[in-house]
Amino acid sequence: MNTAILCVDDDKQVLNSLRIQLSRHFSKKHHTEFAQDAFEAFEVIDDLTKIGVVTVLVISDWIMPGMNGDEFLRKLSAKHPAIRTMMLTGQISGEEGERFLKSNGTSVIMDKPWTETELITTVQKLLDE
Amino acid sequence: MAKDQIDFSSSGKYDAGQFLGALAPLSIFVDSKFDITSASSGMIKAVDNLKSGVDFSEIFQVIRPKGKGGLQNLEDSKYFVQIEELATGRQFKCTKLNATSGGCFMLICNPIINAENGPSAYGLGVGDFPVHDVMAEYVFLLKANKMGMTEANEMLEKQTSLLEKMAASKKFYEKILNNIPIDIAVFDKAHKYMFVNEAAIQNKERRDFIIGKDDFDYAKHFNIPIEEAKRRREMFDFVKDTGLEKEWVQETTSKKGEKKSILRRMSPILNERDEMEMAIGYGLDLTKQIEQDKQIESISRFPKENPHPVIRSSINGEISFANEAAKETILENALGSDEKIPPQYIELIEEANESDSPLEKVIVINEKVFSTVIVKVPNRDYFNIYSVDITKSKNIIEKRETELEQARQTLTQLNEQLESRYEEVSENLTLAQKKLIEGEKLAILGRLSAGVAHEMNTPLGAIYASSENLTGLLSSLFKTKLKEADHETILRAFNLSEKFSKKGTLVSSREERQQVRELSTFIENSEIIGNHGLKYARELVECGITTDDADSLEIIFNLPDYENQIYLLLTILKVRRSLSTIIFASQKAASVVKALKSYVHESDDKTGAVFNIKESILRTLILFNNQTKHKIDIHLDLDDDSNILGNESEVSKIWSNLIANSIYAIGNEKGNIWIEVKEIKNKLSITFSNDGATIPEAVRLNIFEPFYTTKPIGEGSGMGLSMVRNVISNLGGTIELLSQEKTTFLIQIPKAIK
Repeated sequence: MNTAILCVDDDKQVLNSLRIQLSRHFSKKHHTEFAQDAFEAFEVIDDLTKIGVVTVLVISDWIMPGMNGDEFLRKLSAKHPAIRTMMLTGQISGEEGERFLKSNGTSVIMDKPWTETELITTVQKLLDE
Repeated sequence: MAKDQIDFSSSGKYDAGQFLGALAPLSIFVDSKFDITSASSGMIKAVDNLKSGVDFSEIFQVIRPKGKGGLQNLEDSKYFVQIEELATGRQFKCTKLNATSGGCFMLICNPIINAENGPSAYGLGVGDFPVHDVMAEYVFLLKANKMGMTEANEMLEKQTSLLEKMAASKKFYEKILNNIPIDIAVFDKAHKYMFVNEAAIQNKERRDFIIGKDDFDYAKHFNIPIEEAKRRREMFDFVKDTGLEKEWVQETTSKKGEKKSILRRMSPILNERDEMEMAIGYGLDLTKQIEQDKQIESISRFPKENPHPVIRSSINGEISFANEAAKETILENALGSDEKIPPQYIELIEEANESDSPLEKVIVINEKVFSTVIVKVPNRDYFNIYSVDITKSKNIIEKRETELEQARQTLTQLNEQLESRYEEVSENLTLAQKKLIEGEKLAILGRLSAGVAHEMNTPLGAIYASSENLTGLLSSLFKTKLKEADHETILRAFNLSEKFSKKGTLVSSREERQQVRELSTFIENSEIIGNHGLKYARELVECGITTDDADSLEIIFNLPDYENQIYLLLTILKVRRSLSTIIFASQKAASVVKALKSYVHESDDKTGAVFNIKESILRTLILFNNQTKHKIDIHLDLDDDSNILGNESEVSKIWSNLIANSIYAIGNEKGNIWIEVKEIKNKLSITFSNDGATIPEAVRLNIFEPFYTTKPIGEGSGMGLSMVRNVISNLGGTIELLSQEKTTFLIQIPKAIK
């Protein structure tokens, strides 16, 4: 098991929820890793790489201290083009939000709050690509 | 010597000219041929060679009037002549009196006195000069010459030879006297007529008759009443007895009915013993004079064209004058006769008589209204009544007053309507203001809603995830784990879970990874656990178990059925963890709901309750958490002991407005907000500062005014700070904008009494 899903959100509660839901479905195939801001996220990816774990998916919040999700995902894609990305947001929804976010480095957006089914389906789809 | 010539030098002072000269002491008499016929004593004294029969031009030349020249000018002159004595160059200004016939005339001369020629140059004394009152002077001079006259009488008696001359002379002066329009008569001691002029008695026969007779003889002869004769005798006797003058007015009515007033004067001529020798009487017809005076005065005072009535009346209401306007309006149809003023005026005249100032009254005559002024004419016994017909003006005024009253009533009605309208409008306004404040609140709420939704989403998501997790955990627990475990294992797992779950639950993911590494190292190095325990490291840390719990872990791993034990323990810990997540998230969601509720909650309770400002501010900040957490550092320094009495929902509007304004001022930049609550002398001093855009000086004065906003249309109603100030003043507090580098609002609110 040398792959990991990385979740980035400044809210520990959100990370807890993601941990519970993701580990229940993917714990046998992927590690689930967490970071509370964009800089920590890069650290985690590097740490995982060192121990031979490949990060396959990053789920990021949009609005975060230090660096916002859109910028983070743009930089991430530039550095690790292979990693799939997904954005969680409670701020923008609908077509306008999608248009904005797609132009900023990611293809998948999920509104907060989400249901477990929604999350697992979306993540599974991304992993299958 | 010719018969009609008089030799002055020989007749001397006894000459008739002397007598006439008394009337005008410096006078010359000239006949139609411009020969001097006579001259008065003063003139003879002054001018040499002045004697009867001398050609006027031998002695004088005529200076004025200037005309064709010579004596012709003298003839042409009607009144004034200036002559010069050829021998000396001395000049006289003369009054020329023409005799009624015969071309004779008399020059009454005034010497021209100047620096070169004083009176002495004419050989004259003061007594030689004429005075203005001809009549008085005549009498005076007669008195002055009384000696002469006495002597003259004696001489007349003695020197009959001179009678002829005298007669001629007498004829001449009679001629002059007859031309004077004043009655003149000369009486002897016995009141017998010595002379009477034409003005006194026109008829020559009668005139001749009376000489040497008295008034009684005259009255008897001509059959006229003797009353006046009696009176004259009384006056004569008085003058004779006292030596004083006497004046009286004779009222007569002619046969034609003409009334006449004649001023009569009797003057005595006394001798050196102060006994009366002669008396001179004269009479002046005043009637014409008075009437003329009256007319002149009336006309000048009451022009005919004057459209306003003017009446002159005695105190008894007898009219002495009334102008045309008065005759037309007041006197015609009035109750009074033509000669009496209307009775309405009588009282007023009496009133005016007692007053020093003109009396002003409004009276009604013949249904006409007159504004009347009654003036008591000074030093006269009559009153002038000036009236102005104000009937029209009065009607106009009354009409105007009616109109004014109507207008006033209309205005009152309008006022009342306006008042009720005002109340209505004011109610509407209050309502509108309330709506606006409500709108402002909703606007802030709208801006907050996205953030609030996010604030709610997170705990809700956590609750949702934990709940689903719990469902899974419970089913796996009851379907598998519990079946395989004995009672002892279950109890141990529960007790251990209780011990571990007491530890803090939330650590950062960075810490967590560190803990995983430490725990893995420990497990690797543990003789009891060994490598087979490594796979649990991560799960253990996730459930809150770290190297701190090394002892407990070694006990567990020492158990023969350790796998089951760990599994059971982790499951129970996960359940506990989910439950505590749910509790924590619920609390968070509840706090957001509470903040929102306290923000939108409407309460009519103005007094409110005691609540804590610190908590109120913190609650409000929750609503803004989403807007502030990533770009604005909020620095709080809030006293715990900060209770106030008020309506919390109202008060939270203060914080939300000030926080929202601060966020707006900071804009898209990063910034800071400082909030401080301190107690100062039983008051809570609350400052809100931010380092965003400052408020321009021009705006500072108006920021608390309602509807004042600098925000673009749609972003603010301008009610925010006005509402804040209202809420604060309702609390008995104040708010001010301090002049500092960063925008700082200082609020002071009384602290609640414990």
